[in-house]
Parts: sequence; C-alpha cells; structure tokens
Amino acid sequence: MVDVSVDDLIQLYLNTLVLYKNKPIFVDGIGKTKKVTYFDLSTQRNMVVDYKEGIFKAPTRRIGFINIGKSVVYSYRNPVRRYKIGYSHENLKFLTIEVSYPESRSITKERAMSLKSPEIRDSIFNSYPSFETAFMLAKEFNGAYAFDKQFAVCCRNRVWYKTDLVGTVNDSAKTIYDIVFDKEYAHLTLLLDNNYEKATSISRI
Amino acid sequence: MKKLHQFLGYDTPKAGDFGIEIEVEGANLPSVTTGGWKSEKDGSLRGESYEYIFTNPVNRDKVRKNLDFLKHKLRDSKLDFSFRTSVHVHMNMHNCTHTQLLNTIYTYLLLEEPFLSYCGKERKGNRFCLRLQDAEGLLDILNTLFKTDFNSLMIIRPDAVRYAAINLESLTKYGSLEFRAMRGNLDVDVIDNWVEALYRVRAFAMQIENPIEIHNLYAEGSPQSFMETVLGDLSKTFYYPKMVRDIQKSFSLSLDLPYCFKNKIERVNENKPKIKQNPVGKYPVYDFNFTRIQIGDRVEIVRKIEDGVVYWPVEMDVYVNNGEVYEVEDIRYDPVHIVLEGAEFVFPAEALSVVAKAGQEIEEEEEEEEEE
Repeated sequence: MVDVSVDDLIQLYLNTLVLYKNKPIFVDGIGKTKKVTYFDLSTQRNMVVDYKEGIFKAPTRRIGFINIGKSVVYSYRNPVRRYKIGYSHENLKFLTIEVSYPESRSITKERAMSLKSPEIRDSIFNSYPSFETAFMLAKEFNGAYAFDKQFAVCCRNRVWYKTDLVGTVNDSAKTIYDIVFDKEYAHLTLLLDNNYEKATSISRI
Repeated sequence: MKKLHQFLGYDTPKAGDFGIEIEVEGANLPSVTTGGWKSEKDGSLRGESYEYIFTNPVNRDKVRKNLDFLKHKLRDSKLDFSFRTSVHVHMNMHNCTHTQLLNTIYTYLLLEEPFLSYCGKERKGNRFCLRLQDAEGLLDILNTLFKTDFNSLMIIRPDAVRYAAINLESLTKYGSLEFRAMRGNLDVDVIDNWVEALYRVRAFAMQIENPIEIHNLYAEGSPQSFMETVLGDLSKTFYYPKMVRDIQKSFSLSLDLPYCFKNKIERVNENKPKIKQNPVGKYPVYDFNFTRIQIGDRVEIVRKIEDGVVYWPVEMDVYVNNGEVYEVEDIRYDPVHIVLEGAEFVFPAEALSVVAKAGQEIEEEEEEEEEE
C-alpha cells in the first residue's frame, strides 16, 4: 500500500473507527504529511501517529449490543458500496429497541453514534456481564442491559435478541437458563448454551 | 415452481454456468477481445489497469480453457495484484427455484469462513468483500428473502449489499450470485478450484429439499462432515486449523435463516384451506350405547363422565339417572357436547342414552297407551 496518497488515506480512514495496535481508535484528522490524529477509545485521549502502511486494520469483530446510557443500542455494519475501511456512519446502523432509555433515547443513540465511547470498545471486544449482573443493572437503572452481543434484558423482565422481543424472565431469574423463550424463538437457546456466536450443541428443526 | 428466469421475465434460462471478472494492475497490459474475454477500464484500480471479463457465461467445463487463454495472453505483461484487485465469479442462478436459491445462499454462508481463508487471509474484513460476520446487515435482506419469495429481491436498494462477499444485487441485474471473495490473481488452478467449489455448492443446493434440511444435515454431523458432503473430495483444499470453530460461528450467525424459512412454510400451511376429514356439524355423534344422536332426539342422562378431560362440575350430578327425558336442542362440535332443552348444562355425548329418535314416540308411552 506504499502508493496510497493523502487523498486516498482521507477517503479510507477519516472519521472511521479502526484498530491500531489491536485497539479501537477513531481517526479524527489526516494531515498533508500523513500525520494522523486519533481518539483512543480505551484511554479516552487524543493522540497523533505518523501513517505507515498497514498500521490501521479494519475491525473484524461485530459490534452488536452496546451497553450505554443505562440502556442498550444495537449496531451492525451494512455491506454498502462505500470506501471506508473501518466503521463509519456510512456503513453502520444504530437501532434502539422498545425498552426505556433513562437518559433519553435520542441522546443515548447519539452517544453510541459518536464512535468514541468506551462502551463501543467493550462491545467490540465482547465484554459483557453475566445474565444475573445484567438483569440486576437493568432493574437498578430502570433501563436495559446486554449480557451478550445479541441478547439484552430490560427492567420489565423482557429478553431481546437483536431488536426482537423473544422471551421473558421472572424476577428471581439468575441464569440464561431461566429465560422463557417465545415458541417462535425457542431455538435461540442454541446461541446461549455455548459461546456467544458458536453454537455447538444443536438439534434438528 | 417458478424459477428465477421466469421471475425476471425470461422465457428460458440464460445458458452457461459462470462469468468471471479479473482485475489487474501492472504494466504492458493488453486490451483483449478474443478467447471469450473482453477488457474494460475500472475506476477502482490505479495506474495501468484492466478488468478482464468473460464476454458471456460459459459452462463449468469451459472455465479452465478461458483462464488458460487469458494467462497466455498476459504472458508478457507485468502483473501487479494489489489490494485493490480481486477476482469476481458470477454463478448463473436463472434455472433455480426460490428454495434452491436459498439453499445455495445458506450453504455458502455455512462454508463462508473456509472459503474466505482459501480466497486469501487478507480478504477477511476487506471492505470489498465483507463476510456475514463483518457486515451482518446482509441478514436484513436475507431474513426477508427466506421469509418470502423472489419478490423480496426487488427491495434491495442499489449498492446496499454490493460489497458483501456474496452479492445478491446481481440476481436481478444478471440472474447470478456474485462471489467477490477471491484475491486478485491469475493462478488458473486457484481460480478453477474456487469455481468448482461454488459449482458443487449449487449442485448440492439443487438436490436438497430446503434450508431446514441443510440445517438438519449440519446438525446430525460435524462441520467437517457437512463440508465433505457439499464439496466431496475438494473439501481437503479448504481445510485449515481453526476451520471447525469458524464454521460453527457461521452456523450461529446464520441461524435465523432456516427458522425464517420454517416460519414461512408454517404460515403458508396455516393459510391453506384445510381439508377436514370430519366437517364440523356433519360427522355423526353417538351416545353411550353407540346410537347416533341427532337434534330432536330425546335422551336420558345415564352416567357421569369423570375422565378429567370432560368438563363435569358436581352440579351436573343431579341430572344423572333422574328419570327425566330431555330433547336434544343442539349439537356443538370441537369438542362435542350436547345442548338439552331444559337443562342448565351441556353434556358429553357418551353420558347420554337415546330413548326416542326425533319424530318417534317414546316406546314406553306407546305401550301404556295400548294397555289403556
């Protein structure tokens, strides 16, 4: 990629979330000398680095549920014909779901869309609490909390898979096995039994 | 069953199995207009560059010959396959039904990780050929496609899914699925193997019943055995150390698809007019003695039913063998129960005994009259 011009760099990286040294960063600016200013999502600090070939990688991990603003936003990439290498507003979708948003639905969504919050870093690195903790926090916040990239629970005892309401739990629920899935979504237990996106114990439909 | 070419308005399916586009940067690149190829300029490439494209789709057995021709044609060129270049393979789906199309897509998605590994490690996460795990937004379209029919192809907005490793946009444009994963190269064996793998995916998809069966086939075996079933002896070409884990991941990511299809089938079956073996109101109902009960018959209540299934509160007990005869006012079905004139409850048929058919006098009364 030695022949990449500044214009190419701007087209590829400006205002995108990419991985630098395996950490998510948001590229804020690219100078004429290929100096890149970026915001580190982990340290929440602005930094500068000289561009070198291959230092920025495309994120290859899904985002999924973001625990933010005492509630959740679901985010994923679309395979649109755009040229940004990383995550950007051009290729990401942010969805709120039918749960309460104690800090306002629009403000929470905007925070997620900034692509700078540490909560997005947690989602990219698949850092979620146990079901029990998530349920407790959802109740405490009077909002919602994700316990998996694809699953969240809200203070009204409802369980969400991506943006669909798929089941319920009672007040004493402690583990994922206490989730009662609606009939149409019973198969989703496959996704919870094992790794978050590695179903190994499966049966015939 | 309607096939894709019919949906697209063609009388007959387009001939040929594959179309291939090979993007090349470099020097001394010739324009080609023979051997089944044409060359075009492509805005996404830099410097001296061409995109070499099949003039028409060709059958599977002609692919290698075409590739050999182009390789020979470019023998004196300096080829530079930069990150911008790639090889796109269009597979003709004109002759497929909607379900066969879904089978092809679902089978490909299950094997997407080994396929991408073969096509080039640098292709994983590449913005020009995003896998399902890179851009799960593809599922928005796929869920709809698996729940409905060919018509859902028309809702795909231009460029919305264009950069998926499996591009659905070309279905309405060319009647093909476009596979964009292969890295830029002109290694005839590498490309020919890739084409053969896709060919086997389609062949498998044409003969298996539906995505549910694909799911079940996967569930009954292992990721490796599934790949062997689909690709046969070619599967070894796609092995790599973390393959099993990666296929499991793909299975999880695409789990919604067979269930969308299943829900669609169930919905269709629910909407079908049901052929009733015993149309309501027409099938015969029999009493305790296996005598048919009809409206207007007179009956006695001869026994209590206590099987735990039939509704029988204690208040109904007083009607049993109380010496009264009741006329059948109505027969209700699903479940069967009998409405008796003058009784506050409805009764199961097997609690009753017909003492006189409609229009007949009760025998006992007639005898009394005779005696008189």
